[in-house]
Amino acid sequence: MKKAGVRKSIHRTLKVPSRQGAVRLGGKVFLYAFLCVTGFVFLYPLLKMISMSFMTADDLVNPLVSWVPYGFETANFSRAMQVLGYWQTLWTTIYVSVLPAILQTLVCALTGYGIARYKFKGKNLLFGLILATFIIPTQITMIPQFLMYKNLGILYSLKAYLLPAVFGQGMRSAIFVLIFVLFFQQMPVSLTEAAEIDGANQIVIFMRIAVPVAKPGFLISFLLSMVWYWNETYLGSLYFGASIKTLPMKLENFVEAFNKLVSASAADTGATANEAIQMAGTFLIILPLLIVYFCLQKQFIEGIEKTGITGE
Amino acid sequence: MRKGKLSRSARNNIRGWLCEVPWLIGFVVFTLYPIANTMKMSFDSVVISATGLVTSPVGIENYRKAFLGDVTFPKLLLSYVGEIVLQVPIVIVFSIIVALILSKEIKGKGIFRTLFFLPVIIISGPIIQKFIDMGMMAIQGADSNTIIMNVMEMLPDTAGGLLQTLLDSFVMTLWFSGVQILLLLSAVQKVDRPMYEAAHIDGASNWECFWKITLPNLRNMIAICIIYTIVTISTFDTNKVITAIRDNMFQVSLGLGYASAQAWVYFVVLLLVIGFFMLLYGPRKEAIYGNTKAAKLELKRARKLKKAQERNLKKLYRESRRYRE
Repeated sequence: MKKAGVRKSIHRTLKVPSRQGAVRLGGKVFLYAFLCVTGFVFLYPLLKMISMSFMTADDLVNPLVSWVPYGFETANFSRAMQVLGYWQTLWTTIYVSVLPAILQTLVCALTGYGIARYKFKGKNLLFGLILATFIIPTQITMIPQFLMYKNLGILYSLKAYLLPAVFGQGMRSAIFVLIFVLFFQQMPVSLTEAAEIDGANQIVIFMRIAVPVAKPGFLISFLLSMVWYWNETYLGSLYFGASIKTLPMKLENFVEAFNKLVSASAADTGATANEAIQMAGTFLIILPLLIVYFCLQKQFIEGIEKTGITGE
Repeated sequence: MRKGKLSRSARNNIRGWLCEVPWLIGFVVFTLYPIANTMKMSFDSVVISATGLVTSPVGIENYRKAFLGDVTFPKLLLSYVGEIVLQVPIVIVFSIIVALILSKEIKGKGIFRTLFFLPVIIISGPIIQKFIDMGMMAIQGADSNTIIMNVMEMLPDTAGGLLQTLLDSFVMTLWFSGVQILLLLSAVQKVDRPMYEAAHIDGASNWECFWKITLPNLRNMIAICIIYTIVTISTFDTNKVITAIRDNMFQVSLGLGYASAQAWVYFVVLLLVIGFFMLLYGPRKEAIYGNTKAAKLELKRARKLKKAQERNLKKLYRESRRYRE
């Protein structure tokens, strides 16, 4: 105890001569200031969005109102919900993002397990190939894929997402394989060897030992995959056309949808899709993701950090 | 054990490849074949008609049209390259700074990490587009800043326009750095502490430590982050080049062949951009030990030694097996 204290004090004298104390304090203040400013810049669009979504049409043009509106206009949200067909679309979005995410996670887990656990010929080459697929842009594969799905008759249905996911070619699957390789590599070899000696076959080892060890890997892969599928609109609008519309896709032509809705009902004539209603719609679309993130932010961040620590 | 006939390594060979079967099938069917097919189609004129696809070979006509006939495509490509060359350093430098700050003992570290990662979760094309349209992604006050305006006027049109788009979507550029910050943060924390202590005792300042210890240690991770940044920005929905390619698919006058040619051009440009950045700041095996000749020689010698040891071990193993048999 005493020894440790002495060592610490020696350290301090070596590292920080006392006259530098003030400089250090100043530095710390500067760091906090930097973090707070950049944090604000990061959040600015979101804060502005929340503030604007509660504004009335008058508040929007009133130069005196910049952040806090006079009255909280919740009608914006009910309008936006109507335009988006919120609950229906939310349900569509959930299954469009959850189903491919589950399949992608499972297949990438198997692929990653093979690489992490077995020594086989051409393994390094294959792993390199898997990682290299990350830089292949979807643009170069989407046209033949589009024609392929059309011939198979699965265009304009969710199967156009599911089929590539089943074969490990879903969105950014290289990242998920990498995550699983890193997680499965942490599994101690002695554990599997012991199980082997006890007569467990490979499937049992995978299900009973490997999967529990890599549970955080499964979680982070599933979450990231789900979020990325949720936010994907480029491929979605190509493969689904008008038959499946997720929330972000509906935001793309929010204004047109609003005008259509207004012209259909005579009572609302004169209403326009002002910024407040558009922002309310945007807020509604981000909200489910925000909820998921704030409930599971620890898993998100630790998952990525662990990948960084063991990775490279 | 059960199948006594096969050796352990042979069994592992089979099991390993079995695990990779789904991925391999998928790779051939959904990646390799489409890439080749896009290549083939880029030399054809392909039009969707009521009866099906009408294909006729046209040679390099599509590529000629992309560069010489199309007014917008070369311009879009050029501005894409310009934007990415500006955006990648911004993202990387910003990520390094934030990662270094977060690696210090700071209160509320968790909150800031959560905050900087948040954009990764919500970033999607239409939402970003809405924010950009409303001017929320711009640096506030940049438009009324006379210095910036004056600089913009002095620059030629293309460069000025580039700067304008950069200012208009500055926050978006920062929003692309969520994953990179976390990756770099874990890399910073992995750097050996004693190295800094030794350097401090030898009288190195923090500034020197950053350039001589931290940065070389981060080099490989930075290279990974550069690639990640380029790929995410290049395939992001608001990228005008990729939306142009998608829109051209359904234009009867241009057809799929032309879109394929554009896709290939885009892919090559993307590879060139990655290559450019890797030449500039690629991964180095010897990054940690510095690039001196002596260090390289040392490494070579170490490798030779390791190989010799492995050879000896193998020999020993073989002999012991023979002995057992």
